[in-house]
Amino acid sequence: MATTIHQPPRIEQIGDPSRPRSSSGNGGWRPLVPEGGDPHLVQEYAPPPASTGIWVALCAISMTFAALTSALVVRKGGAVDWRHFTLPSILYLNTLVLVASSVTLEIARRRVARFMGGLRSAAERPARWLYVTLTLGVLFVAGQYLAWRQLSSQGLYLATNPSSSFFYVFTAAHVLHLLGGLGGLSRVIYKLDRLVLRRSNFRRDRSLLALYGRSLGLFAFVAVGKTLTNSTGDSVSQADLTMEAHPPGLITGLPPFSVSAKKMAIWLFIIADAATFAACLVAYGFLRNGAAHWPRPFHSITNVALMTFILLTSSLTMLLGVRAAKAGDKSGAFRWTMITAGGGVVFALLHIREWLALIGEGMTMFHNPWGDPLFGASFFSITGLHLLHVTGGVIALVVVGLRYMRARYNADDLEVTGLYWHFVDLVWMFVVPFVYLLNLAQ
Amino acid sequence: MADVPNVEKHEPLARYTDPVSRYLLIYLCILVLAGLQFVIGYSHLDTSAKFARMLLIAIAEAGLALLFFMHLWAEKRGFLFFVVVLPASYWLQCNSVGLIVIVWNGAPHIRSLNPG
Repeated sequence: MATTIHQPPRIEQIGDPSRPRSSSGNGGWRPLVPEGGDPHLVQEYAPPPASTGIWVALCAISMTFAALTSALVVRKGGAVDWRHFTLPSILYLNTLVLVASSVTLEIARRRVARFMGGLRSAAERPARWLYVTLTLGVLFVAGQYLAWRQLSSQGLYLATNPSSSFFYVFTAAHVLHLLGGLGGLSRVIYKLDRLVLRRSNFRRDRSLLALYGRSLGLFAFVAVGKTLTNSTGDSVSQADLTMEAHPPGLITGLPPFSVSAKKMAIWLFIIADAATFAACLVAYGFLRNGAAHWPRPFHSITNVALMTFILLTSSLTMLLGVRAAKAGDKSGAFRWTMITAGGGVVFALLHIREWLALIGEGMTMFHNPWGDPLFGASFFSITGLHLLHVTGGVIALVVVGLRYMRARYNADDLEVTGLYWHFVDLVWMFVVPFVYLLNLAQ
Repeated sequence: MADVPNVEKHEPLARYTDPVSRYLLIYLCILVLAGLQFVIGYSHLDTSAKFARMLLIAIAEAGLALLFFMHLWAEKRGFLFFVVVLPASYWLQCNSVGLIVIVWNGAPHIRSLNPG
Protein backbone atom coordinates (compact mmCIF):
# COMPACT_ATOMS: atom_id res chain seq x y z
CA MET A 1 0.00 0.00 0.00
CA ALA A 2 1.38 3.26 -1.04
CA THR A 3 1.85 5.90 1.53
CA THR A 4 1.14 9.45 0.58
CA ILE A 5 3.23 12.03 2.31
CA HIS A 6 1.64 15.39 2.24
CA GLN A 7 3.71 18.50 1.94
CA PRO A 8 3.71 20.18 5.35
CA PRO A 9 1.91 23.48 5.34
CA ARG A 10 4.22 26.38 4.62
CA ILE A 11 4.13 28.89 7.41
CA GLU A 12 4.91 32.27 6.02
CA GLN A 13 6.70 34.56 8.41
CA ILE A 14 5.25 37.94 7.71
CA GLY A 15 6.71 39.88 10.52
CA ASP A 16 8.36 39.48 13.86
CA PRO A 17 6.50 41.21 16.64
CA SER A 18 9.51 40.96 18.92
CA ARG A 19 11.79 42.98 16.73
CA PRO A 20 12.57 46.59 17.69
CA ARG A 21 10.13 49.16 16.62
CA SER A 22 10.96 51.24 13.65
CA SER A 23 10.89 54.98 13.60
CA SER A 24 9.28 55.11 10.22
CA GLY A 25 6.41 57.27 11.37
CA ASN A 26 3.85 54.52 11.13
CA GLY A 27 3.32 54.16 14.84
CA GLY A 28 6.41 52.07 15.21
CA TRP A 29 4.77 48.69 15.05
CA ARG A 30 3.63 47.78 11.58
CA PRO A 31 5.93 47.63 8.58
CA LEU A 32 4.75 49.86 5.78
CA VAL A 33 5.01 47.09 3.21
CA PRO A 34 4.52 43.43 4.09
CA GLU A 35 7.39 41.25 3.00
CA GLY A 36 6.62 40.13 -0.51
CA GLY A 37 3.24 41.74 -0.23
CA ASP A 38 1.33 44.29 -2.17
CA PRO A 39 1.79 47.82 -0.78
CA HIS A 40 -1.78 48.61 -1.79
CA LEU A 41 -2.95 46.24 0.93
CA VAL A 42 -1.31 48.39 3.57
CA GLN A 43 -2.72 51.55 2.08
CA GLU A 44 -6.14 50.02 2.31
CA TYR A 45 -5.70 49.26 6.00
CA ALA A 46 -8.30 50.82 8.20
CA PRO A 47 -8.98 50.53 11.92
CA PRO A 48 -11.95 48.51 13.16
CA PRO A 49 -15.31 50.35 13.06
CA ALA A 50 -15.50 50.60 16.86
CA SER A 51 -12.17 52.40 16.98
CA THR A 52 -13.27 54.78 14.24
CA GLY A 53 -16.54 55.31 16.07
CA ILE A 54 -14.86 56.28 19.32
CA TRP A 55 -12.61 58.75 17.47
CA VAL A 56 -15.63 60.34 15.84
CA ALA A 57 -17.28 60.57 19.25
CA LEU A 58 -14.14 62.17 20.70
CA CYS A 59 -14.04 64.69 17.85
CA ALA A 60 -17.68 65.58 18.40
CA ILE A 61 -17.21 65.82 22.18
CA SER A 62 -14.12 67.99 21.74
CA MET A 63 -16.01 70.30 19.43
CA THR A 64 -18.88 70.54 21.90
CA PHE A 65 -16.61 71.62 24.71
CA ALA A 66 -14.66 73.91 22.39
CA ALA A 67 -17.93 75.55 21.36
CA LEU A 68 -18.94 76.03 24.97
CA THR A 69 -15.53 77.50 25.76
CA SER A 70 -15.81 79.91 22.82
CA ALA A 71 -19.28 80.93 23.94
CA LEU A 72 -17.94 81.54 27.44
CA VAL A 73 -15.10 83.75 26.18
CA VAL A 74 -17.40 85.79 23.93
CA ARG A 75 -20.13 86.11 26.57
CA LYS A 76 -17.68 87.10 29.25
CA GLY A 77 -15.87 89.57 26.97
CA GLY A 78 -18.99 91.51 26.08
CA ALA A 79 -20.72 91.36 29.46
CA VAL A 80 -21.12 94.03 32.08
CA ASP A 81 -23.16 91.70 34.29
CA TRP A 82 -20.55 88.98 34.65
CA ARG A 83 -20.28 87.96 38.28
CA HIS A 84 -17.09 86.38 39.58
CA PHE A 85 -17.38 83.81 42.33
CA THR A 86 -14.97 81.64 44.26
CA LEU A 87 -14.78 78.10 43.02
CA PRO A 88 -15.57 75.47 45.68
CA SER A 89 -12.28 74.15 47.01
CA ILE A 90 -13.39 70.56 46.52
CA LEU A 91 -12.99 71.06 42.77
CA TYR A 92 -9.21 71.13 43.16
CA LEU A 93 -9.34 67.81 44.97
CA ASN A 94 -11.67 66.54 42.28
CA THR A 95 -9.16 67.44 39.59
CA LEU A 96 -6.51 65.39 41.37
CA VAL A 97 -8.95 62.49 41.67
CA LEU A 98 -9.62 62.61 37.94
CA VAL A 99 -5.93 62.70 37.09
CA ALA A 100 -5.36 59.76 39.43
CA SER A 101 -8.20 57.86 37.75
CA SER A 102 -6.55 58.36 34.38
CA VAL A 103 -3.31 56.94 35.75
CA THR A 104 -5.04 53.95 37.33
CA LEU A 105 -6.97 53.33 34.13
CA GLU A 106 -3.74 53.22 32.17
CA ILE A 107 -2.22 50.82 34.72
CA ALA A 108 -5.33 48.67 34.51
CA ARG A 109 -5.22 48.66 30.73
CA ARG A 110 -1.62 47.46 30.71
CA ARG A 111 -2.26 44.79 33.32
CA VAL A 112 -5.32 43.48 31.55
CA ALA A 113 -3.44 43.47 28.25
CA ARG A 114 -0.72 41.36 29.83
CA PHE A 115 -3.31 39.08 31.36
CA MET A 116 -5.04 38.64 28.03
CA GLY A 117 -1.69 37.93 26.41
CA GLY A 118 -1.07 35.16 28.92
CA LEU A 119 1.73 37.05 30.69
CA ARG A 120 -0.18 37.32 33.96
CA SER A 121 -2.34 34.86 35.79
CA ALA A 122 -5.87 35.37 37.00
CA ALA A 123 -4.57 35.14 40.58
CA GLU A 124 -3.09 38.60 40.17
CA ARG A 125 -6.61 39.99 39.78
CA PRO A 126 -6.26 42.01 36.60
CA ALA A 127 -9.52 43.84 37.33
CA ARG A 128 -8.22 45.31 40.58
CA TRP A 129 -7.08 48.60 39.01
CA LEU A 130 -10.32 48.82 37.10
CA TYR A 131 -12.16 48.78 40.41
CA VAL A 132 -9.84 51.51 41.70
CA THR A 133 -10.60 53.59 38.60
CA LEU A 134 -14.31 53.01 39.02
CA THR A 135 -14.12 54.08 42.65
CA LEU A 136 -12.21 57.23 41.77
CA GLY A 137 -14.78 58.03 39.10
CA VAL A 138 -17.62 57.67 41.58
CA LEU A 139 -15.69 59.85 44.03
CA PHE A 140 -15.36 62.50 41.33
CA VAL A 141 -19.10 62.51 40.70
CA ALA A 142 -19.75 62.75 44.43
CA GLY A 143 -17.27 65.63 44.69
CA GLN A 144 -18.98 67.39 41.83
CA TYR A 145 -22.31 67.04 43.57
CA LEU A 146 -20.82 68.53 46.74
CA ALA A 147 -19.45 71.45 44.70
CA TRP A 148 -22.91 72.13 43.31
CA ARG A 149 -24.34 72.00 46.82
CA GLN A 150 -21.72 74.50 48.02
CA LEU A 151 -22.58 76.89 45.20
CA SER A 152 -26.31 76.61 45.76
CA SER A 153 -25.78 77.32 49.48
CA GLN A 154 -24.13 80.60 48.38
CA GLY A 155 -27.25 81.42 46.37
CA LEU A 156 -25.69 80.66 43.00
CA TYR A 157 -28.09 78.69 40.83
CA LEU A 158 -28.34 77.91 37.14
CA ALA A 159 -30.16 81.11 36.27
CA THR A 160 -28.53 83.42 38.82
CA ASN A 161 -25.84 84.81 36.55
CA PRO A 162 -24.23 83.93 33.19
CA SER A 163 -21.08 82.83 35.02
CA SER A 164 -22.98 80.36 37.17
CA SER A 165 -24.91 79.15 34.11
CA PHE A 166 -21.66 78.37 32.36
CA PHE A 167 -20.32 76.62 35.42
CA TYR A 168 -23.37 74.37 35.79
CA VAL A 169 -23.61 73.60 32.07
CA PHE A 170 -19.91 72.82 31.77
CA THR A 171 -19.72 70.61 34.82
CA ALA A 172 -23.03 68.88 34.14
CA ALA A 173 -21.99 68.10 30.56
CA HIS A 174 -18.72 66.73 31.84
CA VAL A 175 -20.35 64.60 34.51
CA LEU A 176 -22.75 63.18 31.92
CA HIS A 177 -19.81 62.11 29.80
CA LEU A 178 -18.05 60.72 32.84
CA LEU A 179 -21.11 58.67 33.77
CA GLY A 180 -21.02 57.23 30.27
CA GLY A 181 -17.40 56.28 30.84
CA LEU A 182 -18.22 54.69 34.20
CA GLY A 183 -20.97 52.68 32.53
CA GLY A 184 -18.50 51.41 29.96
CA LEU A 185 -15.98 50.63 32.67
CA SER A 186 -18.58 48.66 34.64
CA ARG A 187 -19.37 46.68 31.53
CA VAL A 188 -15.71 45.82 31.02
CA ILE A 189 -15.30 44.79 34.66
CA TYR A 190 -18.41 42.64 34.43
CA LYS A 191 -17.12 40.94 31.31
CA LEU A 192 -13.67 40.43 32.74
CA ASP A 193 -14.99 38.96 35.96
CA ARG A 194 -17.34 36.62 34.19
CA LEU A 195 -14.66 35.61 31.71
CA VAL A 196 -17.18 35.30 28.97
CA LEU A 197 -15.79 37.80 26.56
CA ARG A 198 -13.79 36.78 23.59
CA ARG A 199 -10.24 38.06 23.85
CA SER A 200 -10.25 40.19 20.74
CA ASN A 201 -13.43 41.99 21.69
CA PHE A 202 -12.18 42.51 25.18
CA ARG A 203 -8.98 44.08 23.98
CA ARG A 204 -10.93 46.41 21.78
CA ASP A 205 -13.23 47.50 24.61
CA ARG A 206 -10.32 48.17 26.96
CA SER A 207 -8.35 50.27 24.53
CA LEU A 208 -11.40 52.32 23.53
CA LEU A 209 -12.40 52.89 27.11
CA ALA A 210 -8.87 53.97 28.05
CA LEU A 211 -8.96 56.48 25.21
CA TYR A 212 -12.33 57.82 26.31
CA GLY A 213 -11.28 57.96 29.95
CA ARG A 214 -8.17 59.95 29.18
CA SER A 215 -10.16 62.38 27.09
CA LEU A 216 -12.57 62.97 29.95
CA GLY A 217 -9.60 63.82 32.12
CA LEU A 218 -8.63 66.44 29.57
CA PHE A 219 -12.07 68.02 29.50
CA ALA A 220 -12.13 68.21 33.27
CA PHE A 221 -9.16 70.54 33.15
CA VAL A 222 -11.02 72.86 30.83
CA ALA A 223 -14.14 72.70 32.91
CA VAL A 224 -12.45 73.89 36.07
CA GLY A 225 -10.25 76.38 34.27
CA LYS A 226 -7.08 74.48 34.91
CA THR A 227 -4.11 73.68 32.76
CA LEU A 228 -4.83 71.98 29.46
CA THR A 229 -2.71 68.93 30.02
CA ASN A 230 -3.08 65.45 28.71
CA SER A 231 -3.68 63.26 31.69
CA THR A 232 -1.44 60.35 30.87
CA GLY A 233 1.22 59.46 28.40
CA ASP A 234 0.29 57.21 25.52
CA SER A 235 3.70 55.90 24.63
CA VAL A 236 3.07 52.28 23.92
CA SER A 237 -0.52 51.72 24.83
CA GLN A 238 -2.38 51.63 21.55
CA ALA A 239 0.46 49.99 19.72
CA ASP A 240 0.79 47.19 22.24
CA LEU A 241 -2.82 46.24 22.04
CA THR A 242 -3.12 46.62 18.31
CA MET A 243 -0.08 44.46 17.79
CA GLU A 244 -1.82 41.67 19.59
CA ALA A 245 -4.94 42.14 17.56
CA HIS A 246 -3.34 42.39 14.13
CA PRO A 247 -0.22 40.57 13.04
CA PRO A 248 2.20 43.00 11.43
CA GLY A 249 1.68 43.70 7.78
CA LEU A 250 -1.75 42.17 7.60
CA ILE A 251 -5.14 43.68 7.24
CA THR A 252 -8.24 42.18 8.71
CA GLY A 253 -10.77 42.39 5.94
CA LEU A 254 -12.43 45.35 4.31
CA PRO A 255 -12.28 48.78 5.90
CA PRO A 256 -15.42 50.08 7.59
CA PHE A 257 -18.21 51.05 5.16
CA SER A 258 -15.86 50.04 2.30
CA VAL A 259 -14.32 53.50 2.55
CA SER A 260 -10.54 53.82 2.28
CA ALA A 261 -8.56 55.07 5.26
CA LYS A 262 -7.69 58.33 3.52
CA LYS A 263 -11.28 59.08 2.69
CA MET A 264 -12.42 58.11 6.18
CA ALA A 265 -9.82 60.48 7.63
CA ILE A 266 -11.03 63.45 5.58
CA TRP A 267 -14.63 62.67 6.46
CA LEU A 268 -13.74 62.63 10.15
CA PHE A 269 -12.05 65.98 9.69
CA ILE A 270 -15.10 67.31 7.84
CA ILE A 271 -17.42 66.12 10.61
CA ALA A 272 -15.29 67.83 13.25
CA ASP A 273 -14.94 70.99 11.19
CA ALA A 274 -18.67 71.06 10.49
CA ALA A 275 -19.27 70.99 14.23
CA THR A 276 -16.92 73.96 14.62
CA PHE A 277 -18.69 76.03 11.97
CA ALA A 278 -22.09 75.00 13.26
CA ALA A 279 -21.10 76.07 16.76
CA CYS A 280 -19.86 79.42 15.44
CA LEU A 281 -23.09 80.01 13.50
CA VAL A 282 -25.29 79.02 16.42
CA ALA A 283 -23.34 81.27 18.78
CA TYR A 284 -23.63 84.06 16.21
CA GLY A 285 -27.38 83.48 16.01
CA PHE A 286 -27.76 83.75 19.76
CA LEU A 287 -25.63 86.90 19.88
CA ARG A 288 -27.73 88.42 17.12
CA ASN A 289 -30.95 87.57 18.90
CA GLY A 290 -29.64 88.87 22.18
CA ALA A 291 -28.61 92.25 20.81
CA ALA A 292 -30.96 95.18 20.98
CA HIS A 293 -29.42 96.97 17.98
CA TRP A 294 -27.83 94.49 15.64
CA PRO A 295 -26.18 96.27 12.71
CA ARG A 296 -27.43 95.82 9.15
CA PRO A 297 -24.54 97.36 7.26
CA PHE A 298 -24.74 95.65 3.85
CA HIS A 299 -26.23 97.92 1.18
CA SER A 300 -25.01 96.00 -1.83
CA ILE A 301 -24.45 92.28 -2.11
CA THR A 302 -23.00 92.22 -5.58
CA ASN A 303 -19.61 91.29 -4.20
CA VAL A 304 -21.06 88.45 -2.10
CA ALA A 305 -23.12 87.20 -5.03
CA LEU A 306 -20.01 87.13 -7.20
CA MET A 307 -18.05 85.32 -4.49
CA THR A 308 -20.84 82.75 -4.14
CA PHE A 309 -20.96 82.17 -7.88
CA ILE A 310 -17.20 81.68 -8.04
CA LEU A 311 -17.13 79.27 -5.12
CA LEU A 312 -20.04 77.19 -6.43
CA THR A 313 -18.44 77.05 -9.87
CA SER A 314 -15.14 76.02 -8.37
CA SER A 315 -16.91 73.06 -6.79
CA LEU A 316 -18.03 72.00 -10.25
CA THR A 317 -14.54 72.36 -11.69
CA MET A 318 -13.16 70.35 -8.78
CA LEU A 319 -15.66 67.63 -9.52
CA LEU A 320 -14.61 67.59 -13.16
CA GLY A 321 -10.98 67.39 -12.07
CA VAL A 322 -11.57 64.37 -9.86
CA ARG A 323 -13.64 62.77 -12.58
CA ALA A 324 -10.81 63.25 -15.08
CA ALA A 325 -8.31 61.85 -12.59
CA LYS A 326 -10.44 58.76 -12.01
CA ALA A 327 -10.66 58.31 -15.77
CA GLY A 328 -6.87 58.49 -16.04
CA ASP A 329 -6.82 61.88 -17.80
CA LYS A 330 -3.87 63.42 -15.97
CA SER A 331 -3.58 66.67 -17.87
CA GLY A 332 -7.34 67.24 -17.68
CA ALA A 333 -7.36 66.56 -13.96
CA PHE A 334 -4.45 68.95 -13.42
CA ARG A 335 -6.08 71.65 -15.54
CA TRP A 336 -9.41 71.49 -13.70
CA THR A 337 -7.65 71.40 -10.33
CA MET A 338 -5.67 74.53 -11.14
CA ILE A 339 -8.83 76.26 -12.39
CA THR A 340 -10.41 75.40 -9.05
CA ALA A 341 -7.44 76.80 -7.18
CA GLY A 342 -7.67 79.94 -9.33
CA GLY A 343 -11.32 80.30 -8.38
CA GLY A 344 -10.30 80.02 -4.75
CA VAL A 345 -7.70 82.76 -5.16
CA VAL A 346 -10.25 85.10 -6.79
CA PHE A 347 -12.72 84.34 -4.01
CA ALA A 348 -10.12 85.15 -1.36
CA LEU A 349 -9.17 88.42 -3.07
CA LEU A 350 -12.80 89.51 -3.31
CA HIS A 351 -13.25 88.59 0.33
CA ILE A 352 -10.27 90.66 1.42
CA ARG A 353 -11.52 93.57 -0.68
CA GLU A 354 -14.82 93.42 1.15
CA TRP A 355 -13.10 93.29 4.53
CA LEU A 356 -11.02 96.33 3.66
CA ALA A 357 -14.15 98.24 2.62
CA LEU A 358 -15.82 97.44 5.96
CA ILE A 359 -12.69 98.36 7.90
CA GLY A 360 -12.59 101.60 5.93
CA GLU A 361 -16.10 102.36 7.18
CA GLY A 362 -14.87 102.08 10.76
CA MET A 363 -15.59 98.46 11.59
CA THR A 364 -13.14 96.61 13.83
CA MET A 365 -13.38 93.49 15.96
CA PHE A 366 -15.03 95.29 18.88
CA HIS A 367 -16.28 98.50 17.38
CA ASN A 368 -18.52 99.60 14.54
CA PRO A 369 -20.49 102.73 13.79
CA TRP A 370 -23.85 100.96 13.34
CA GLY A 371 -24.77 99.20 16.59
CA ASP A 372 -23.82 96.21 18.71
CA PRO A 373 -20.01 96.02 19.01
CA LEU A 374 -20.02 92.21 18.86
CA PHE A 375 -21.07 92.33 15.22
CA GLY A 376 -17.48 92.90 14.13
CA ALA A 377 -16.15 90.08 16.29
CA SER A 378 -18.71 87.58 15.01
CA PHE A 379 -18.45 88.71 11.38
CA PHE A 380 -14.66 88.59 11.24
CA SER A 381 -14.53 85.32 13.20
CA ILE A 382 -16.92 83.44 10.94
CA THR A 383 -15.81 84.83 7.59
CA GLY A 384 -12.17 84.75 8.72
CA LEU A 385 -12.44 81.08 9.66
CA HIS A 386 -13.97 80.36 6.28
CA LEU A 387 -11.32 82.41 4.48
CA LEU A 388 -8.67 80.45 6.36
CA HIS A 389 -10.21 77.24 5.06
CA VAL A 390 -10.31 78.60 1.51
CA THR A 391 -6.65 79.62 1.73
CA GLY A 392 -5.69 76.21 3.08
CA GLY A 393 -7.75 74.58 0.34
CA VAL A 394 -6.02 76.57 -2.40
CA ILE A 395 -2.60 75.59 -1.05
CA ALA A 396 -3.69 71.95 -0.81
CA LEU A 397 -5.07 72.00 -4.35
CA VAL A 398 -1.87 73.40 -5.80
CA VAL A 399 0.37 71.01 -3.85
CA VAL A 400 -1.73 67.93 -4.55
CA GLY A 401 -2.25 68.93 -8.19
CA LEU A 402 1.48 69.35 -8.78
CA ARG A 403 2.33 66.13 -7.00
CA TYR A 404 -0.37 64.35 -8.94
CA MET A 405 1.22 65.51 -12.17
CA ARG A 406 4.57 64.20 -10.95
CA ALA A 407 2.91 60.85 -10.15
CA ARG A 408 3.64 61.21 -6.46
CA TYR A 409 -0.06 61.36 -5.64
CA ASN A 410 -2.87 59.45 -7.25
CA ALA A 411 -6.52 60.08 -8.10
CA ASP A 412 -7.57 59.11 -4.56
CA ASP A 413 -5.52 61.96 -3.14
CA LEU A 414 -7.16 64.36 -5.55
CA GLU A 415 -10.56 63.01 -4.54
CA VAL A 416 -9.81 63.56 -0.85
CA THR A 417 -8.71 67.15 -1.54
CA GLY A 418 -11.86 67.60 -3.60
CA LEU A 419 -14.02 66.47 -0.68
CA TYR A 420 -12.42 69.15 1.47
CA TRP A 421 -13.04 71.79 -1.21
CA HIS A 422 -16.70 70.80 -1.52
CA PHE A 423 -17.01 71.12 2.23
CA VAL A 424 -15.61 74.66 2.13
CA ASP A 425 -18.21 75.43 -0.53
CA LEU A 426 -20.94 73.83 1.57
CA VAL A 427 -20.11 75.97 4.60
CA TRP A 428 -20.40 79.12 2.49
CA MET A 429 -24.00 78.15 1.66
CA PHE A 430 -24.81 78.75 5.33
CA VAL A 431 -22.53 81.73 5.92
CA VAL A 432 -24.03 83.84 3.10
CA PRO A 433 -27.64 83.86 4.26
CA PHE A 434 -27.01 84.20 7.97
CA VAL A 435 -24.09 86.62 8.01
CA TYR A 436 -24.84 88.69 4.91
CA LEU A 437 -28.42 88.36 3.68
CA LEU A 438 -30.05 88.65 7.11
CA ASN A 439 -28.03 91.83 7.68
CA LEU A 440 -29.03 93.69 4.54
CA ALA A 441 -29.76 97.35 5.11
CA GLN A 442 -33.48 97.98 5.13
CA MET B 1 -0.30 30.62 13.31
CA ALA B 2 -2.39 33.73 12.99
CA ASP B 3 -5.54 33.55 10.96
CA VAL B 4 -4.84 35.00 7.59
CA PRO B 5 -7.54 37.54 6.92
CA ASN B 6 -9.26 38.31 3.70
CA VAL B 7 -6.90 40.62 1.86
CA GLU B 8 -8.88 41.14 -1.30
CA LYS B 9 -8.49 44.65 -2.55
CA HIS B 10 -11.85 46.32 -2.53
CA GLU B 11 -13.14 48.73 -5.11
CA PRO B 12 -14.41 52.10 -3.89
CA LEU B 13 -18.13 52.59 -4.19
CA ALA B 14 -17.98 56.19 -5.41
CA ARG B 15 -16.41 55.86 -8.84
CA TYR B 16 -17.06 59.30 -10.34
CA THR B 17 -18.41 57.84 -13.56
CA ASP B 18 -21.59 59.90 -13.67
CA PRO B 19 -22.12 61.85 -16.89
CA VAL B 20 -21.06 65.48 -16.84
CA SER B 21 -24.63 66.50 -17.63
CA ARG B 22 -25.71 65.21 -14.22
CA TYR B 23 -23.06 67.27 -12.47
CA LEU B 24 -24.13 70.32 -14.47
CA LEU B 25 -27.74 69.76 -13.51
CA ILE B 26 -26.89 69.55 -9.81
CA TYR B 27 -24.70 72.63 -10.14
CA LEU B 28 -27.52 74.58 -11.77
CA CYS B 29 -29.95 73.45 -9.06
CA ILE B 30 -27.57 74.68 -6.35
CA LEU B 31 -27.03 77.93 -8.23
CA VAL B 32 -30.79 78.51 -8.51
CA LEU B 33 -31.26 77.75 -4.81
CA ALA B 34 -28.47 80.19 -3.93
CA GLY B 35 -30.15 82.80 -6.11
CA LEU B 36 -33.41 82.16 -4.29
CA GLN B 37 -31.67 82.97 -1.02
CA PHE B 38 -30.66 86.35 -2.42
CA VAL B 39 -34.23 87.01 -3.55
CA ILE B 40 -35.50 86.17 -0.07
CA GLY B 41 -32.82 88.43 1.40
CA TYR B 42 -34.29 91.39 -0.50
CA SER B 43 -37.91 90.46 0.20
CA HIS B 44 -40.06 92.28 2.74
CA LEU B 45 -40.61 89.29 5.00
CA ASP B 46 -39.80 89.63 8.68
CA THR B 47 -36.44 88.34 9.87
CA SER B 48 -37.80 85.11 11.40
CA ALA B 49 -39.55 84.14 8.17
CA LYS B 50 -36.46 84.99 6.14
CA PHE B 51 -34.31 82.95 8.48
CA ALA B 52 -36.55 79.89 8.26
CA ARG B 53 -36.72 79.98 4.45
CA MET B 54 -33.01 80.58 4.04
CA LEU B 55 -32.18 77.78 6.44
CA LEU B 56 -34.34 75.32 4.52
CA ILE B 57 -32.78 76.34 1.23
CA ALA B 58 -29.26 76.12 2.68
CA ILE B 59 -30.02 72.61 3.94
CA ALA B 60 -31.31 71.63 0.49
CA GLU B 61 -28.17 73.05 -1.13
CA ALA B 62 -25.92 71.28 1.35
CA GLY B 63 -27.84 68.04 0.83
CA LEU B 64 -27.34 68.19 -2.92
CA ALA B 65 -23.64 68.95 -2.50
CA LEU B 66 -23.18 66.15 0.03
CA LEU B 67 -25.07 63.55 -1.94
CA PHE B 68 -23.86 64.26 -5.45
CA PHE B 69 -20.75 66.45 -5.36
CA MET B 70 -19.27 64.58 -2.41
CA HIS B 71 -20.73 61.30 -3.66
CA LEU B 72 -22.31 60.23 -0.40
CA TRP B 73 -25.19 58.90 -2.47
CA ALA B 74 -22.87 56.30 -3.99
CA GLU B 75 -21.49 55.17 -0.65
CA LYS B 76 -23.10 52.64 1.64
CA ARG B 77 -26.22 53.85 3.45
CA GLY B 78 -24.52 53.09 6.76
CA PHE B 79 -21.78 55.54 5.88
CA LEU B 80 -24.34 58.20 5.04
CA PHE B 81 -25.91 57.64 8.44
CA PHE B 82 -22.49 57.70 10.08
CA VAL B 83 -21.44 60.95 8.42
CA VAL B 84 -24.63 62.96 8.63
CA VAL B 85 -27.14 61.72 11.12
CA LEU B 86 -25.10 60.62 14.12
CA PRO B 87 -22.87 63.71 14.49
CA ALA B 88 -25.79 66.01 13.75
CA SER B 89 -28.02 64.47 16.39
CA TYR B 90 -25.22 64.40 18.96
CA TRP B 91 -24.32 67.99 18.27
CA LEU B 92 -27.92 69.16 18.48
CA GLN B 93 -28.48 67.40 21.79
CA CYS B 94 -25.41 68.84 23.47
CA ASN B 95 -25.35 72.34 22.08
CA SER B 96 -29.01 73.15 22.09
CA VAL B 97 -29.25 72.52 25.81
CA GLY B 98 -26.00 74.31 26.62
CA LEU B 99 -26.45 77.37 24.47
CA ILE B 100 -30.10 77.87 25.33
CA VAL B 101 -29.26 77.89 29.02
CA ILE B 102 -26.42 80.34 28.41
CA VAL B 103 -28.61 82.73 26.50
CA TRP B 104 -31.32 82.34 29.09
CA ASN B 105 -29.41 84.86 31.17
CA GLY B 106 -27.77 86.85 28.44
CA ALA B 107 -30.65 87.74 26.19
CA PRO B 108 -34.02 88.33 27.78
CA HIS B 109 -35.99 88.46 24.55
CA ILE B 110 -34.57 85.21 23.20
CA ARG B 111 -37.46 83.43 24.92
CA SER B 112 -39.81 84.68 22.28
CA LEU B 113 -37.33 83.64 19.57
CA ASN B 114 -37.87 87.01 18.00
CA PRO B 115 -34.70 88.24 16.28
CA GLY B 116 -33.96 91.88 16.77
